[in-house]
Amino acid sequence: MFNKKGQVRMLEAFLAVLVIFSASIISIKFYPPTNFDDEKMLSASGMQALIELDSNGTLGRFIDERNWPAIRENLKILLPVGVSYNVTIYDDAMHQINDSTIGNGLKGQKIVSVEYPCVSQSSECHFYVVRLQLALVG
Amino acid sequence: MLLVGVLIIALLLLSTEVYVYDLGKVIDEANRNSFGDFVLAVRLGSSHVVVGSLANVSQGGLNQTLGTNLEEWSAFVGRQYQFGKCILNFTLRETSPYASGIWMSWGTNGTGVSGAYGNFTLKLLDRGVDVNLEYVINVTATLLVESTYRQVQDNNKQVNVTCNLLNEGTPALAKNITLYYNNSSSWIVPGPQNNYSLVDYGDGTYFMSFVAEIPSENVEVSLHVCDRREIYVQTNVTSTQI
Repeated sequence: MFNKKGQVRMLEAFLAVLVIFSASIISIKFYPPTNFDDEKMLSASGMQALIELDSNGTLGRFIDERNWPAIRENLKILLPVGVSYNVTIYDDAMHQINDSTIGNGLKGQKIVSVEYPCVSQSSECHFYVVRLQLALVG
Repeated sequence: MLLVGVLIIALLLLSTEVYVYDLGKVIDEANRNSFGDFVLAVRLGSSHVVVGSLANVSQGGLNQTLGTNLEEWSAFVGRQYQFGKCILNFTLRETSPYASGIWMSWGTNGTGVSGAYGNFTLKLLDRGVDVNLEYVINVTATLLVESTYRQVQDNNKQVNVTCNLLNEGTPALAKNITLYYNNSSSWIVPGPQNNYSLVDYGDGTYFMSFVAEIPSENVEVSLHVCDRREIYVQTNVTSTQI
């Protein structure tokens, strides 16, 4: 008799656990999928574009000259097609220095942000932080 | 029955754990990527600081500028790393011919060098990652000059000057070049009245020619060059008669 009672309780416990897990699984299925590969690709593309632009000191020179259109045009070429982006540039005291938008209109479900420490290759070194936000369009 | 129930529950728990672990692995991989990119950015920035400081010193700045700028860069980089602690240390070469990491040799033998040399150690303490990276940044602008002259008429001499500019030992382009010749202890820049011409071969080689009245048999020229990175270098040379 005790055995039967125990078995019924065990069955109850098992069913309870099953209900909880099935609920969890259903909730995971309905949760918008987080695509880590896309995020990785976006942040790697962004960093690569900034490193490429900075390889001969061009990025620092553009910032020194406050040449925002040049940064926009260069990133447009260096970033993959189908990526929207926005750039914010800060000085070493973290004050924003770009007074106009540098980007192509950031739009997308998932936005990735990379930060790049930059120094101008001029006789007076200036330090900047370049924050590049990226998203896949569509 | 009890055993089977426990096993099933354990399996469910394990599979959940495995799923969570897999997600964690992806996040770790993303962190490692950002860490590699950061190292690259710091290295690139260190190189820019050395180049910029050398440009400053070669144009009359203090030798200490390099050390001061690198200290500021080191502090700046330390503040920027988001995933842990970043320590950038550097030592500037003090062995001859360097002083405070700077080497300026603007001789009278047709060779001029402006150089900077620094050893760097980048230490990154991340979650589960402890990295020590050592790298060297050696920046040089070298100017090699040869000059010949021939007597044209009386004291008039046609002087030909060939120069090669090198950055880190490879041919480089100049941003501006100024040639002087010595006439009775004063340095004069040849102009159109001297039929001055400059040919840029596009491979770091430049040829200059002019005609000037120089009474002395000792025809000295001085070449002052700024490379594309704004590093200044100069050298003097005595022309040989042909």
